[in-house]
Amino acid sequence: MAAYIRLLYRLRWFVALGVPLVVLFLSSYLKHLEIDGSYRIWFEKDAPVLKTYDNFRNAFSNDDGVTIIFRDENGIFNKKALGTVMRITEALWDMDHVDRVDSITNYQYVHADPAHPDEVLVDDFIDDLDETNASYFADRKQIATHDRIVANSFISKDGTTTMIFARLEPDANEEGNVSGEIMKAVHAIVDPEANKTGYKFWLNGGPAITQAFVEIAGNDAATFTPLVLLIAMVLLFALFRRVSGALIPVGVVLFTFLTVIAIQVLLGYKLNNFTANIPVFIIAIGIADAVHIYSVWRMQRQSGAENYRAVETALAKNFLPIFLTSATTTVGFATLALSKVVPVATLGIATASGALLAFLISVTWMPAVLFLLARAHTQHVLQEKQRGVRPVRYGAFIVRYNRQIVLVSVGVMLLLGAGLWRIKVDSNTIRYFDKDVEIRKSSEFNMANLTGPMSYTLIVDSGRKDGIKEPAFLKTVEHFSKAYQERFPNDVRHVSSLLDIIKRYNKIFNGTETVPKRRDLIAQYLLLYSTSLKPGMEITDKIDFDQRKFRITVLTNIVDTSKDLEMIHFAQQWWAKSPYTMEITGQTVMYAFMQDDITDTLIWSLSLTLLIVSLMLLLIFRRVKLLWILMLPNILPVVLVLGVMGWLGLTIDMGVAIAGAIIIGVAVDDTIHFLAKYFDARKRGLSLVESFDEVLQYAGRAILFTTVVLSFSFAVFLFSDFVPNRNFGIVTAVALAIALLADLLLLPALLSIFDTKTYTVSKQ
Amino acid sequence: MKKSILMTMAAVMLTGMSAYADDPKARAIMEKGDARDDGKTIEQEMKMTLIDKRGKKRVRDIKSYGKDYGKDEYKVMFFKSPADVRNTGFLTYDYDDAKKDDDQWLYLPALKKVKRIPSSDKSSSFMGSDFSYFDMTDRNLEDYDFKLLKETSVRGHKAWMIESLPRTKKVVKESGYRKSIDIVREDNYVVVRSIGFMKNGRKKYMDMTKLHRQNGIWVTDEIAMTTKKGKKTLHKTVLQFTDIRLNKPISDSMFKTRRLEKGL
Repeated sequence: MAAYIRLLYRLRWFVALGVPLVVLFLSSYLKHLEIDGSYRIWFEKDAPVLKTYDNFRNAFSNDDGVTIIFRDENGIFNKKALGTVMRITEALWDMDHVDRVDSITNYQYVHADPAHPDEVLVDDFIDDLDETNASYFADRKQIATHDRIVANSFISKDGTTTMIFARLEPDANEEGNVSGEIMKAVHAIVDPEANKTGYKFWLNGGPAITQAFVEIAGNDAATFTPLVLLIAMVLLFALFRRVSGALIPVGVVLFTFLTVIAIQVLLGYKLNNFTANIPVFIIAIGIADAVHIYSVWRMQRQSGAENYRAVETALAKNFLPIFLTSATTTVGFATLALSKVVPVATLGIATASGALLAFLISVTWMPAVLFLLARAHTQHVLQEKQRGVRPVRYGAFIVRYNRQIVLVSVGVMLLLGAGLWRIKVDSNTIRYFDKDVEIRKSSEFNMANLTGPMSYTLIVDSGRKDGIKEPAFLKTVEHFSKAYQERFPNDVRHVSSLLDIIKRYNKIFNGTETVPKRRDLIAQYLLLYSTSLKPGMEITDKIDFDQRKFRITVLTNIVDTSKDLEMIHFAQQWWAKSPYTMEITGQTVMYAFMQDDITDTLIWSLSLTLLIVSLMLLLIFRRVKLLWILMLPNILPVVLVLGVMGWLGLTIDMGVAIAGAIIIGVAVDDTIHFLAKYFDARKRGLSLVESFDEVLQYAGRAILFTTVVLSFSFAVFLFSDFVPNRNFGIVTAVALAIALLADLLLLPALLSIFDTKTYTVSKQ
Repeated sequence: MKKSILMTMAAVMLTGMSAYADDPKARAIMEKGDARDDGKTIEQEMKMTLIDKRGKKRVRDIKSYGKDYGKDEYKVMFFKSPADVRNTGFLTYDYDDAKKDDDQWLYLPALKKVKRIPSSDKSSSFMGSDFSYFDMTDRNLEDYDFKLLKETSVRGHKAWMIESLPRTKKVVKESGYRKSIDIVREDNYVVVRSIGFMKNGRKKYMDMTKLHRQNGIWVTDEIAMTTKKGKKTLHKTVLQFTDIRLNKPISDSMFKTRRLEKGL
């Protein structure tokens, strides 16, 4: 250590200036920083759900696009509203990345004119508005609101709300910035219409969601990082009452997160709603190292020590403890790398490396800078003594009430912990947005006024080429559609497929809207349908080219993920009993399937962190019998918080899932500081009560301070519109506060009961 | 000096303006092509191959007959395969009068019913292929402004490249094309290639890959239509014609709806 400090002293100028210069250089890459809000970021590149989805889009078409919904209180069937639909439909056709546009006006209406029963007409449902009158509109309304194909999908049952859907090219929405372009183009079309007509247009769909994610991530990163830096500086200044005490630790974390983010950029990562907050995480967990070093250095200087000695003591005293606490924090985050949810893994790795880097900068750059602060300090020895009121009653209190403390803690833990079994996991995309976010309001408007904003895509394989033309196959599809809507009458809002069109043709040619009984008739209807298709409309978005696979689209409500999974499993089981095979996909389904990944993330990261942290505590303190005592105060907060969520019926999302491991990795730092001081005191022959008092005096302030910084930093996430971040913030801030109490009350209480070892006083 | 500048400017403006107006030379070429003898009657076998973006194919065999009635043209088509659509028939009366919509009837053998399918819109797909009805019939030259872009050559034959711009929005809507560029062979006035520009950045590329002269009349052996968006091929259709018989007498009864019901 002495040699290292000598070397550092010799290189002090070099290190003090070199580190910021290197960081400055790396920061130049930050200008390439991009945010990606696509649904794809959540999945591993070779994830089966992603593959299924891509295969489907390749064989059929994209299911994703921009939806525009608006409502006219007087009904849609008038010149103004339909003219608006028509203009927007036409304008969207010409937009980049758009494959096809569907609306009530260009709906290809297959019908027969009662006056000419020998004719089959396939027309735009609304064509020319110039030659229209009231009876025309009444007629269109009557037809549309009773047409199985468009009612409850493109037009509400009451005829007041309608949707325009611009479907994207199959690979258009994979990049975040494309979504931005698309939304800009959509606004350029819709905003002037809004001014002209006074309608409120509700936008939604993949690009809108992606864009909302990007905007929130950008906002979070831009506001939270400076805010947390400011909070840290204020708290540091309050603690040390010196500018250097506020600036140096902030410098450490600033350099750390700039470097970590720059490296992310260099590795080709884009930020997302999770990783946008890496700076906040790093500030919160990285600042403690610097605080401990500064704190000892300052005490040394105040007590008159010469600067070189002060730096040496600060480093020597802290090197091992801050190394250990950095290591446990690193473990807590690093276990998130196991997660199959990619942004969680990225956040874990980046923050874990940030914890280590913050340690490195704290033991290199920081002492180098301290060497340069050679100005003498006013001696505060007297004042220190006055301020440091000896907390005489603490140890005695603990020892006196130890059993009560333990009993109450264990009781509360068991009672609240029982809630763990009631925990529900939710991974619904729309619910990732705060209730006030436009995109969520838009989805809820759709759900309340028109149809299901979420959708499942079912691809049924008939088993052979041209198999979809078999009447038995189509009958099965019909049975399923009916069974599905009957089983979930509230949440399945609309089921559609090519079957609707085949049945419509059968009605016109044969009089009944039923599945034709002959295969050749079905084939002939399909031929007829394919001859009526307008440019840009193909049959291959409903069946594949081989006419073997058949697509069914189900529009559903926004529901709990467990409900989604119930509905998905029902469909899977239904088809498993049929002679055909079915694959279910679509973004709603993919997010629902993420539920398992989230649960796995929580369980695996938590278990692994517990295991590794236990091993580390064992290595550090070498007390096998006391291990459970050391771990209990750290497990307690996680159990309490998750248990309460279970009891209250709050669902666990990704934010909460990652919190478990992080809480333990961070909370255990306090335990380590506590125990280090405690065992040291006991080895010096102090009694239980005296030891506790000493711990509180020497480690209490540091523990309190780091907990306050951490809790405040994570509590900032309360302001996020990204719900998982907010939940993470609440859960972590509360849990860390509980951890502080547990470390100061439960830990010593347990020690006073179970640490029955007699300490042989070392020579000192 | 001043005068000459004005003159140049005027000349530039005039040539600039002519870009938007009709070009008599181009129109003359198109008119010659339109007037080209294509036989009074035609009977042929058509093999339609649909090819998707991954190269998968589906084949249909169709028998077709056509006959001129003055300037109008009547056509009848029967599906031979696939088996499940065999004998499905289409009868079309293509009227020269632009104001009159074409007449079309369909016969579904599974139901033994004939239905009329009236449509003013010719942009719809021809039998689910990349060709539209518009692509399969002669267009009305009065609907367009033409412009001779340049001289070029196709497979060793000299040719003109001519741009057609629809004169009205209605023409755009009904044809599905905002603009097209045709390549017309100078020796026989046959349009051997064309690019149709559609909304949404789609383009359709026609290529007449094989043709021959039969009794002094040029007939198509093979023609392909590829639908592209940007550089991506979305879909392709190849039509191959065999057993082409020109000017062989065909009875008028062939072009009646009752004939449709009899099938092949």
